[in-house]
Amino acid sequence: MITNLEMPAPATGAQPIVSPTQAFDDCIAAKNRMLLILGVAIFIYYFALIVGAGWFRPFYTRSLPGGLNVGIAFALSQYAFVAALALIYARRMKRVDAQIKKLAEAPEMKNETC
Amino acid sequence: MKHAERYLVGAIGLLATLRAGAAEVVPHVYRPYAFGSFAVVILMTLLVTWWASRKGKTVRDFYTAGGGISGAKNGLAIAGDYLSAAAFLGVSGLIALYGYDGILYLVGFFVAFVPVLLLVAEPCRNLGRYTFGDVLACRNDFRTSKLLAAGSSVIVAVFYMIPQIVGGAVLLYALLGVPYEVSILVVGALMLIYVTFGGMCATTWVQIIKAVLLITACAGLVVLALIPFHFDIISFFVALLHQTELHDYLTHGRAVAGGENVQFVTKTFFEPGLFLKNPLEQLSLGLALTLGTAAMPHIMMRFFTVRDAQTARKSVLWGMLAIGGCHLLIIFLGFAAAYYVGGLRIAAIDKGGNLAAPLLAQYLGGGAGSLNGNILLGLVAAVAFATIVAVVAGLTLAAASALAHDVYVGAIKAGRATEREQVIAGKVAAILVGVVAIGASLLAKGQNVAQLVGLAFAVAASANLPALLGTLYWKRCNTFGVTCSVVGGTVAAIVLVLVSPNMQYPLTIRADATLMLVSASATMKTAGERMNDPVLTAEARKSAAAELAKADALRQSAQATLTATGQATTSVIGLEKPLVNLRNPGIISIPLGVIFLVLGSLFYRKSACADEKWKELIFRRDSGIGIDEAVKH
Repeated sequence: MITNLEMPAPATGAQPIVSPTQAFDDCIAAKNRMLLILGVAIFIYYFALIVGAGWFRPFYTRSLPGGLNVGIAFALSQYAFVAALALIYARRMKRVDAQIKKLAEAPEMKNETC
Repeated sequence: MKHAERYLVGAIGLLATLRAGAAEVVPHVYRPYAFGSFAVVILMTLLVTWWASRKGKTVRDFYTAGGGISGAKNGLAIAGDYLSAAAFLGVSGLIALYGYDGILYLVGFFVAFVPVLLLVAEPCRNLGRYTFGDVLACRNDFRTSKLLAAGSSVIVAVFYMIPQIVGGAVLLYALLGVPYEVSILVVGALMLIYVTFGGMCATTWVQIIKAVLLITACAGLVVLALIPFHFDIISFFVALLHQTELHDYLTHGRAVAGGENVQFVTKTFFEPGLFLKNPLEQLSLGLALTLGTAAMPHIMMRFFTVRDAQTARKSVLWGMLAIGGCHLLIIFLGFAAAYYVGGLRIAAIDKGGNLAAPLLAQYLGGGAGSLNGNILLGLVAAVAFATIVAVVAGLTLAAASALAHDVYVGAIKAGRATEREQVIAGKVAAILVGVVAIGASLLAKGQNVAQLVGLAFAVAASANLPALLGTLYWKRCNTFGVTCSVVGGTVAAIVLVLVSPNMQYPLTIRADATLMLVSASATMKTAGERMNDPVLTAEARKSAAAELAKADALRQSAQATLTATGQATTSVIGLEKPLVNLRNPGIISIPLGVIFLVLGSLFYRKSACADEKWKELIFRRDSGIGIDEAVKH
């Protein structure tokens, strides 16, 4: 069997190529906003740890209850923060998936090809 | 952070330091048992490969295992692909020797999965078929995209593979005394067997087995370490904080000042600064780690093995769960090694601390002189070895798919190749990549190849990631911008490493060796005079003799270094000293890669069909309509 890959992967057949409705565009814009917010949040949280460990060491040595100090608590909290962020993302994306599916199947999205 | 990258590769540091002490880790009498542990683990992976080789014969089976792997399985395979010897051996050792600073490394490896989850996994599944090149080709010129993606993927994969192979070989030598060359050939042969006979299916199962074994081994060691404390973690850390041995280790020739108050010294173990001395270096490494992971070809390739974007998302979530859980266990193992084995013993066997986890296993099993201790050590070492081989197999497959699918089938055959030709091309490419990696690893004997790991992440973050994100999310991005980013980012990262302290500078090496020679000669003279003292006690004479022997070894080592550097005064590119004082180039090369992408895209005219292609890409990227049907597993 000869396979022709000149078409952009991974199209397996002639697919309807878009005349996105305003609702579809809005949905994608909202999704991208969420990605931006979550991305900026983790960027700030993680690099605050690195910057703090490098330039604010005395602050990291402050003791906390339970034998911890600020540095250890902040480092371990990265795992909790990332887990929370991933859960938020997964929950929001369930809604986005449903919306996209509904919009992609709408009649006005079909019947136009490149 | 003078030796930072060493810890990214786990066992690499052993190469230079373990030659003398290697054979003492597992006594001869117990070696058959340790070999047995290795054999069981390797046999399991080979059986899986044999089973997988009978399953699928199509090109899709070879590259993506049919594309129907479940989210949980793929998540475990991602964990198996990603949890390298660096995390298990390197970071547990780093924590055992330096405490807090080791945790910072591990956190970076974990946070790196956020960009993968948010920006890369789902769009890659919706737009790609087998490779990173497929995704770039969605919008950009087909042939250019394929060649660029293949070039950078192979560079990243090979840079990352060499230290892994060397690490595996060094581990075998260090624990079991297997010669370096034989070990390299064993690692290379195993990775080629997995990939060429089993393709993605076998590679996936090897990675799953490895992930399960690694997590189980870590959890088992944590349980054994906590039994004396009745599973009270707080009591364990309080005991460590008050441990006299930790105090002695920290004050023994270290930066921490001694004092009567044990706790005053030992609390520094839980604070930053014992290892990481240059914050800018740490920032640069953090950038490369967190951004580079998302564009590592072997990680991206895993998203083509699942049915759809939702499963790709689940994969990442499962992968993060496995990786995060394993990291927390590794953090505890590092502290447990510090408590039970002790920094002095760990550092005496390997200055880098890379054998902390195996030594902890040996201790918890009953000690160096016990059968259980050595069986447990053998098991942990076998898991570490499987870790290395699984990562290397994933990298081989990623590089082979780039060469075969992107270069041969895509750029050379213009997409017209039979199923059989594509499978053969994939297998031939895997053998080619394997031979190159094995050859380079053999040539690397005695060389410090650890910086190649940092370089692989830096190239991925500086070249691949801007091109990938530009293609996926920036309307104005075009082929020229992608070309500038991939070529410019790769060149920038490599050039910055070539002018960095990672290279060898003969003048500096000679100055250090001369200092060592003078110091060792002085020590030898003093010790020799003490030896000749007629009133010396037998014990003092023995101590002086040991000091004399140690100084003599140092003198010989310094003399050998001076001889080896010869008359050379400059590094391989003609520099007497580094131009940039950063070992990891990320903080410079990543912004450069982004600038190249932006400038290249803006200064190149838009193609006639650019807007339509952009609309099509957004639709496919977010809806997933048009992706291949999966094969159920």
